Amino acid sequence: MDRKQYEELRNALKIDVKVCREMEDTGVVARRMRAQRERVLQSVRDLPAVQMPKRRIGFFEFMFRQIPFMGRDLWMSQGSAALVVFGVLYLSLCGDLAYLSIRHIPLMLGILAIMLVMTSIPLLLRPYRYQMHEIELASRQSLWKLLTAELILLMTEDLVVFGFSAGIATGIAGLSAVKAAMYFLLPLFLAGTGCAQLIRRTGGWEEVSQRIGLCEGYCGLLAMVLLILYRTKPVVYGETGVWVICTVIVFPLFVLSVGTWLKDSTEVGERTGMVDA
Amino acid sequence: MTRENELLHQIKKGDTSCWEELVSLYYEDILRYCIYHSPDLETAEDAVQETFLKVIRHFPKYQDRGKFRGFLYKVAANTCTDQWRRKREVQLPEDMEFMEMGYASSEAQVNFQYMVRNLPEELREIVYLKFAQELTFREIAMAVGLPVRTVQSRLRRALKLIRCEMEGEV
Repeated sequence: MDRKQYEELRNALKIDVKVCREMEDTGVVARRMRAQRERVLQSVRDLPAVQMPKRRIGFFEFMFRQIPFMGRDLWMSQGSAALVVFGVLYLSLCGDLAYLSIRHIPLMLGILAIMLVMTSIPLLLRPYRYQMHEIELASRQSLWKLLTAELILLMTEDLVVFGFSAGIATGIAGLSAVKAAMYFLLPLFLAGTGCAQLIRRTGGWEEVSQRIGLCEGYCGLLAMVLLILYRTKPVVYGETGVWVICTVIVFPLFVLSVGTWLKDSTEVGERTGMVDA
Repeated sequence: MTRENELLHQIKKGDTSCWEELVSLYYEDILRYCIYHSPDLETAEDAVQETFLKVIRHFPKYQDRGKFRGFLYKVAANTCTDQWRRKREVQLPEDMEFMEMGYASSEAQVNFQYMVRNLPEELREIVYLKFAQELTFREIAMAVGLPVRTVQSRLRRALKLIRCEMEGEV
């Protein structure tokens, strides 16, 4: 085919454009074409994405906006867990909470702390399961910020539950608030550290449910240890000094593990395209 | 920097008012493409609107900068395919052939149109995008979802078929 034939072919296939232009030159059709063009442009103008350009919201605004979504789920599940613990305790003591002595309180607080971690793991791993692409697109926040927001909401709830439990422990059994914090925080840090490490180490696992199962298993094991200690060596609960030392040792490990997990989450976000826009 | 790149850059920075100009820039090309790929003008007009709305909605996911035209035509092609699927049961309008062929200015052009229409589908689309829409090989590759080399070889095959048919006619 020579150049002229190519030109003919090009013109032959471009005839539809001429159709449009000729239509624009004629009365009724021209009006219709102009109206159609305007209709398309108007529909573009009406799109929310065009009307309200995306404003990048700050982290705290993002976190507060998460409350009706993730915060509510987190608080509901943790609140339910705390209620179940108190319910079982109340029923088993036939409503006589005064029966609770200092000997029972550490186990109760420890089990409660572990249950709070257990209930929060499926919710914390939810962003991995669904990648939270819509949230990332809407908020322009990366995965690690999403997790940090969840952790802050989680800690708020833990603080409330702990305050309530410590209040009961202090009011009924006369346990000091510092001791109550110790019995609550050490299992919480141990469970949190272990779970953060397990989540990090199982980063290559495709099935999120398996990772959840592993964390829940670890927490269950920890609860069993507390129970065994309570049954076989209850004297351990009386050694406040040991608890203080253990808490002081475990706390940095907890902070380090959670921090590393969040840092790793940024890399996961980068791999899946979930980075700050 | 081309006007398209400037507008895309502005949009990326958050100036969404640039969409209107970008849509105006490609409106005619996409209308032409949709007319060619739709059973009637009304469907083509709907397809144009749907194409631009889809492009704007999915723009945040659009990663391959520099291939916007390819992306646009890919969305238009998918939209037209969907429209055909929806209209499958509806009878085609009587004036469709008139719309497609009635404005050719010469016999040669009419012949070319027939020859292109008779090409296998996978070749016809590439010829159309190359000659009617004047897309680059890279853009065509993106629009039809094939490697650039495959697009080039298919175009060569299509032109060979047209040439053979022309020689047969002579």
